[in-house]
Amino acid sequence: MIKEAIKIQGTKEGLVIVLEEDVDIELLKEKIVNRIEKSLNFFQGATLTVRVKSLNIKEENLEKLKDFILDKYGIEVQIKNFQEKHIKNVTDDEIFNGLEEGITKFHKGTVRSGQVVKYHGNLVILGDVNPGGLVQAAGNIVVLGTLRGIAHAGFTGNKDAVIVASSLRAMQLRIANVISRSPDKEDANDYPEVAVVKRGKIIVKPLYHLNDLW
Amino acid sequence: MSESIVITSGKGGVGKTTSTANIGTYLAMKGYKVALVDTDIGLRNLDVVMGLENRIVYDIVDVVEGQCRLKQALIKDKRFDGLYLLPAAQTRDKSAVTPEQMQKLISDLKEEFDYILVDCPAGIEQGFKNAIAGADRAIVITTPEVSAVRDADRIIGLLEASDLHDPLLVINRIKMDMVKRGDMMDIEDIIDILAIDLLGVIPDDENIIISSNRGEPIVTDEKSLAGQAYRNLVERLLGNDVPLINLDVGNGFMGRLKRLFKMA
Ligand SMILES: Nc1ncnc2c1ncn2[C@@H]1O[C@H](COP(=O)(O)OP(=O)(O)OP(=O)(O)O)[C@@H](O)[C@H]1O
Ligand SMILES: [Mg+2]
Repeated sequence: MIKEAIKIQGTKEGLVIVLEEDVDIELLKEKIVNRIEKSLNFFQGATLTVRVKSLNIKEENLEKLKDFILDKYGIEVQIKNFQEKHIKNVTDDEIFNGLEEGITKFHKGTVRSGQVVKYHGNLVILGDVNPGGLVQAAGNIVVLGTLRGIAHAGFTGNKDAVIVASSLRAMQLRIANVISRSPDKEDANDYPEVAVVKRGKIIVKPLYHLNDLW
Repeated sequence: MSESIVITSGKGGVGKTTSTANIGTYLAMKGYKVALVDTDIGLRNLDVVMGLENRIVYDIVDVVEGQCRLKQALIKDKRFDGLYLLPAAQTRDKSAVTPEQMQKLISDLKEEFDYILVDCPAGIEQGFKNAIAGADRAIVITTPEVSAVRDADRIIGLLEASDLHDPLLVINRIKMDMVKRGDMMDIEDIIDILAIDLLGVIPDDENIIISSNRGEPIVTDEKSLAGQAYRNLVERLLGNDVPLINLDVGNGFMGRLKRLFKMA
């Protein structure tokens, strides 16, 4: 049986491409392009990891590949060494799965510019998150005050994580590896809103439209 | 040929960030490729003044640490082609970058850009040393206050000690009515003390604050006097002979200014 020279697999690092030997660069491009275009939204703002198994693949070919993907899709490629453990698919315990019921941190107070609150579970902020402040959780994020900074929910890869705020005026919202930024002309609402990922994009809805969301 | 210029002052709050944004924007309006680099790690502002805060994903620290590539961290301006911002990190401090890393960064930027403008933090410590590391030239900003001029003088000395010779002076926040009353430190006195070439004089104008809050540099406003002052300043930076605009301060004062520019 002939071994496949190029194997592409989705993992928690994003897409991992395993190169067995020095493959033809054009063929490799074609395969990667196919794969990326199949699920472009998934990769937006993500990084692509290429792990090289073969020792005779040329450095310059990899550099060309990097440039090509960055120019075409704005996706950063990181070349790393191959280890067997990297090609296994994402396991349940690597992604936080306690969204319905799981460990939760309550942070009391305002998260100010330059401050980071990061937690491997769900995160509740009993206060505001100011511009320049960053809150990150492996699970959901709930801000009981006004969210004006950046919130990153599901940072270990769980796209079902949500971000809720009493007043949602975030500079940026990130869920798993999807990013959205605030519109340049702000039209903030003063009722609670929730942000979720739908069809690879972050959407924001009033919190009372829950039935449409779940 | 590309050039890197650091905008510095010693004293805080005298208009470094405002000037970086306006000078860079007008250079881009004139068709140059410009990179604005915010080195005020931990207290970044330039992204806000440029109205690009919501686009930041990667920053200067990510670049020097190799978390992303330079191209990825550069934010394209929303108005002008060829204008890019490399934001500072907000959750780190000045020690996250070294002068050697800055030198490398600036030389990488030079391959892509005509002008690299570096917005320097206040002070004379590590942030200042980082900001001047890759600079070919320096612009020193002061206001017409004794304390700001003292600090500018200190900075000019430090620049010279780092082999950054012949910095250019910008006097910011000149108040017309105070000058008329004779209550403001005289431009001639400032130049007398600092003994460097005057690049421009910017009037004190509340519209600068309004435009900064909106994220739209004043230089884009054709009718603004402060905008005109920045446009003229850039022309002089490019080596063009432009007289100081009449800041409405009377003949005696203008006459002295003109003599400074040897055009009386
Ligand atoms: N010519 C001017 N007229 C009126 N306001 C001005 C003028 N120049 C600057 N300002 C205002 O002064 C404040 C400080 O300006 P800026 O942030 O550019 O200074 P800075 O030197 O970068 O400060 P820092 O040392 O904190 O980095 C801002 O609010 C700005 O809008
Ligand atoms: Mg500043």
